[in-house]
Amino acid sequence: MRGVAVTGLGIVSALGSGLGAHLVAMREGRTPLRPVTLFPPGDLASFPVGEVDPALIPRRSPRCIRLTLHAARQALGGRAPGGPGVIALGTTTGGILDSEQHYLKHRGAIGAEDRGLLLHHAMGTLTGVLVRALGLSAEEHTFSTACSSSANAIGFGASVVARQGGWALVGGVDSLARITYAGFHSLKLLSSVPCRPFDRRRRGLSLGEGAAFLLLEPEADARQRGAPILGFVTGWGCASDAHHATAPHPRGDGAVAAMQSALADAGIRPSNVDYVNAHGTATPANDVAEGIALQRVFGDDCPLISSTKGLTGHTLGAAGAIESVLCVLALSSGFVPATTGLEEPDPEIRVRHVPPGGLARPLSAVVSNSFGFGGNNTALVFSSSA
Amino acid sequence: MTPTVQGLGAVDAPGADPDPRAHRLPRLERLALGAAREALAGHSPESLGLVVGTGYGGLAMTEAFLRSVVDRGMAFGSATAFHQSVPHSAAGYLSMLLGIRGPVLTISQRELSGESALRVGLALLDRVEQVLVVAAEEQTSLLEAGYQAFGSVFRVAEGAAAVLLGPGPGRLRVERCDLFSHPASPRRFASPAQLGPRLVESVATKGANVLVSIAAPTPAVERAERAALGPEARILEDQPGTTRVAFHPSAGLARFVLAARHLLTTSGESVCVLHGLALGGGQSITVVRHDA
Repeated sequence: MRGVAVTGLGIVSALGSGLGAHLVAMREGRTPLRPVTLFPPGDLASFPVGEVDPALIPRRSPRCIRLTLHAARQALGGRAPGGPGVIALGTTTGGILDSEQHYLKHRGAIGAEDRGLLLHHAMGTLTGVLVRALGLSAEEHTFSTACSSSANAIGFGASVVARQGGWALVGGVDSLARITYAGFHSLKLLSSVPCRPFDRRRRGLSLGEGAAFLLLEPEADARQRGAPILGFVTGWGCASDAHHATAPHPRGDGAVAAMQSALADAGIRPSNVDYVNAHGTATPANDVAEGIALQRVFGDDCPLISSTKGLTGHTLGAAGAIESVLCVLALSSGFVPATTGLEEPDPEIRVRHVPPGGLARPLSAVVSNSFGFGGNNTALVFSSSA
Repeated sequence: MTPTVQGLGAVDAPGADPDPRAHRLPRLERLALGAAREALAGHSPESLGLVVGTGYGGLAMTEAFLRSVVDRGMAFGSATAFHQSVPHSAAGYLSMLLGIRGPVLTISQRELSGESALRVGLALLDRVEQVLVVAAEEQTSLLEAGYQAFGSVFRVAEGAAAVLLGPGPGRLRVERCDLFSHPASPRRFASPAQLGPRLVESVATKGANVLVSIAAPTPAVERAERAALGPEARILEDQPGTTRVAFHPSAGLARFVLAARHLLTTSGESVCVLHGLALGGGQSITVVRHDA
């Protein structure tokens, strides 16, 4: 994939709003994960989560819409791109927070349904909101491939820009919700302490929420209008494990295929990669399988590896977009974030961890991994040059 | 090379599947699997991708999970219902049961989920040799009640359709699949003034012998589509997914399959323009051509 420039970034998460807040947080490496306050956890323990400061998204509409618009407006920087374009958004649960509130209030009683149920439950509602609120005219696609949703939205949007020009607003969103909080608990995947990716003592993931968007356009168009080029999307690879509904392939088959496909798309060798922002959820199975996959792709010459989920929590469908923004920030700032929460590396995971405190280093190519339920594996490559 | 249609499938009820792993799958997954197997019959693709379109995904399993939380508490949600409530569940199961290891994606674009999946599937042909596009929706009381609450007159149905795409050869070519957005309330379709120009232009440029499959999600929208096209238009009547039969959010691909099968019965060159509409202002134009 050639010539797809990133000319706008927007992000909101538990770390705050905007690039500045996230760069500071990457450098400081302090976890914002705290016991959930968005809803009462009922008979469940109050697990730590990455909750967005409510002051950033004043309550006027459903939470996922507020998160979406907040980040998308940042990415566009007050400008509505003209001409044909694509909006590709990834989300796992869309407006489930609002539809579950409605359901729990009415408990499914016949005749109690209101318009809000389907209005906010449909994932595709969010792209329509962007079109209306931001005055855009574009083809709309909503990807819902679980925790790789927004990574696939970015890859698809970038591939459209590479093939036919125009512009693409790509990214993703997910808000915290009871269904994911109770659901990941039912799978015994929630950690009682802030998550510790790749750590020997890791016990599971910490949920998070947020949104992030990237504005993509052909390099030539960006240069012509004098837009700042923050980086390039150069590779997208996705592959399926075809193995299990929720567990990763134990040898990371799909993850290997996704990374190799993304590197081939970028036209680079494994040795050209400086840093991998791992999926790194801190579940026992994911981190081991991803470690094996990284070894299979990169061998002994492993690039620097870290997971940023100790900073943001696992934001599910938004994770690919949030971590893509962090990757572009790493490229443009020359700062590689460490894995927050990692204290005693699991000896079974033989990768080259970013040292505590992070590392200042010029980067030319970075990979972002995102994996999801159903054996979905996606890798993106971001580069400092086209 | 213009992509060709190499397999078609459509079901309106789950059937028996030869794989015992399929027997306990949710209804949505079994609908999707039935259509997928039909489209893949006689094919053993080496390099295959999958795109599943679904407007509401596993709504029944979402309700089952929420019910378990209501009945027994947050600590006792059903693990199975949870992962089967995720919209990507059907695509994940299909990849396992059909051994698909290429790109496997799920699209959820309200009432244009089938068309959006087709558009993404066509784009994936840059990356894999063949792409299976599946659209599926299950009928649930929540879906029915939700549509009724919109004040629409939808008769909600369920079903699944599948199209196997490849680079050719084939007698059916997908000439175009484009999606557009119009500013509209999330509870409304595009207005007659918004939907008319794209629809008329797409039909006018195809010359004679053009069939049109209209979206017709409600009688009012159907009247607007017919008025835009004029009395001379050759409209495929009683299409699945329209208000005259029964509507479901992924029915656009079911209409595509029916139109493609109809074209295959014709002797000369013929074209079908398929019009799609979604609540919130989405519009699609798909053109499939049959070469004599």
